[in-house]
Amino acid sequence: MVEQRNIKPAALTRLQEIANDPYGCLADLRKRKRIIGSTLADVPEELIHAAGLHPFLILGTNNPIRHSAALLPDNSCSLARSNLELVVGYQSAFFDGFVLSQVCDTTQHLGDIWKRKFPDHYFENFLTPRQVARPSARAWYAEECRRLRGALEQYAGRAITDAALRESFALYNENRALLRRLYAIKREAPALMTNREFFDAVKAGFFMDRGEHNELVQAVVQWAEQTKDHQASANGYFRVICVGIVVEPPALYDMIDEVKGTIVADNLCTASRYIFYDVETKGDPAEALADRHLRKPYFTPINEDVRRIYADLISLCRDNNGEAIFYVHIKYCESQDYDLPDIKAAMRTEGIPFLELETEYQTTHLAQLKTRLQAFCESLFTKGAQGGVR
Amino acid sequence: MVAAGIDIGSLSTETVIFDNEKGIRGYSIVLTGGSSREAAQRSLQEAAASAHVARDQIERIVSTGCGREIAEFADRKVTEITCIAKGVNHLFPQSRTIIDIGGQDTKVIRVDEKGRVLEFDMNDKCAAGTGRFLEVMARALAVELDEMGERSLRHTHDLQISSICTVFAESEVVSLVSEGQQVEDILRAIHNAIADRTLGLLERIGEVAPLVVMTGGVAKNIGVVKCLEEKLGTPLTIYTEPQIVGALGAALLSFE
Repeated sequence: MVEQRNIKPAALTRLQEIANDPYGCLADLRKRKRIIGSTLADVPEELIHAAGLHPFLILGTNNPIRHSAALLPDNSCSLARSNLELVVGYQSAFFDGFVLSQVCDTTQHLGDIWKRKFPDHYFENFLTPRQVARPSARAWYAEECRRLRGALEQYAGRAITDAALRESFALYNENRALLRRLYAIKREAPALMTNREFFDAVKAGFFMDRGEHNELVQAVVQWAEQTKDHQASANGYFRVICVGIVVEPPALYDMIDEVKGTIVADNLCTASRYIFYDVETKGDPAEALADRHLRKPYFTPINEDVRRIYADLISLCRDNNGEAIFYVHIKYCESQDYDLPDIKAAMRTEGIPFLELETEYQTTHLAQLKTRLQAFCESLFTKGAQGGVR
Repeated sequence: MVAAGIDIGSLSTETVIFDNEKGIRGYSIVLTGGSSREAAQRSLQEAAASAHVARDQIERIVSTGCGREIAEFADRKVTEITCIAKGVNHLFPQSRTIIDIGGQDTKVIRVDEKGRVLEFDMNDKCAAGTGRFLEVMARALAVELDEMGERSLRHTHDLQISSICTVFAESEVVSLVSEGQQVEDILRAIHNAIADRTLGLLERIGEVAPLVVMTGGVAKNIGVVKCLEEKLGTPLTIYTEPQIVGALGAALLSFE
């Protein structure tokens, strides 16, 4: 009986299939809609969706770098290089256009390269405010949403009505609510599903039709609700706070699963920053999008208060009874490179066990990362870790 | 009770046979070569022979090192970070900072009075500044690996290797040779480069508290040791056979 309860639903299997072959489903979708790729965390996908276009998140490729090596330096951000590799390699397969946000110097230059490289594609720079704590940030973001709305209308050849926008808001809000519910259940019942399974379920949504994704996630949530009580024991698991932008390669989740770490909270662009907070469906749509954007956590000290990043991480860890922070560091990500030394020092002062996992797209050999992770866990379980452990 | 610890590294595999009443009974160091599995078996046999114990007298085995997972005969697998800390604590209980430079890894570890790991760091995928780096430089200079340390002590001029990347540094070494620089001076520059890289890692784990212990095969290179001591401003404590400390820690962990 118990064994039957542990059988994972077909919907979860399907979500994992899509997460593991993320760009495969786009080719099919392109027969119905034009496909617009956007970069992580800042572009309001709802605007693209309401224009009758299909938005998806560009998440790079783990295929070997061939094209982007000629366009970007070897020591540029691994995610940026990988994103460029993806679009150059597959441009004719599933891209009609791009909306790129500028969140750092690399993405600013990347946008320029991108624009020059793809002159025939639709292209928009979405300029998000860097210092989100400033009073002008909300008005800036809202105005940028209005500008993007107009640009998308022109490209799509149709008006984006407020009614259509609110429908998109509702669809995406439903999606976020379902994923948040699933996250909450996973937190309560860590044996129910692995980290990899949960984050794959989130990731699949970056590519799929949102309605179809909702149906699949709904089925997984139903299964999880029915099954969670039988998997509620948290024995043997330790509570991990996962910090960073993306977790790539996804085998990193498997490694965390192997050491019985259960991710209970995060500030990843591919998880909490994506699924937390809804867009208010009443009032001015642009301002509603701005309000959601400004509520999200930030991982770089782009606030006026440069210490907020530490305070946010400490709260994230304490509020969720985290036993350790795993900081996933994308190789050559300049924002993370600048932040990391001070973050580590702050966590050491706070006594929060902290592990940096430096990763790079195209990495296939993870033995050294595994040693780092296992050694960290060994020190944690012998109560040796007093914070700052890498 | 007799236990064995096996440290299966990228370049060499070490085994220590430890008796909880008599201490270290014997050990072996063999080259890992192309098969970690064979090296582990060979190392275990040789260590058992040196300890005068039969294989079936060894009651517990703990494997460590980058090849730890391959030792299917091991009762437990533990990372080299934990094992080195354990081994060093057994030998030098006052130790608080450990520098381990092996074949392809450099590790720095901060430990408490019980040998528990408080903080550690290690090089990333790049093997610059490790034993492999020294091997490449030895080949470029046509110097035996074992001679590098002693010869570097006879340096007369200060040179600098500006890059720590193994490939680029090799090019620099070739250029220095072409310029007619003395081998001893180049060796000194190589050792200084390793010391600088190691210091960079140490910076990341906070204070360098004494006693500072060095382990791993590179601890046998007196040139690297001297450079590190000068830059750290503190002497390094080194066990007679620094290569077996991880294996010793693994053997000790089998009693826990």
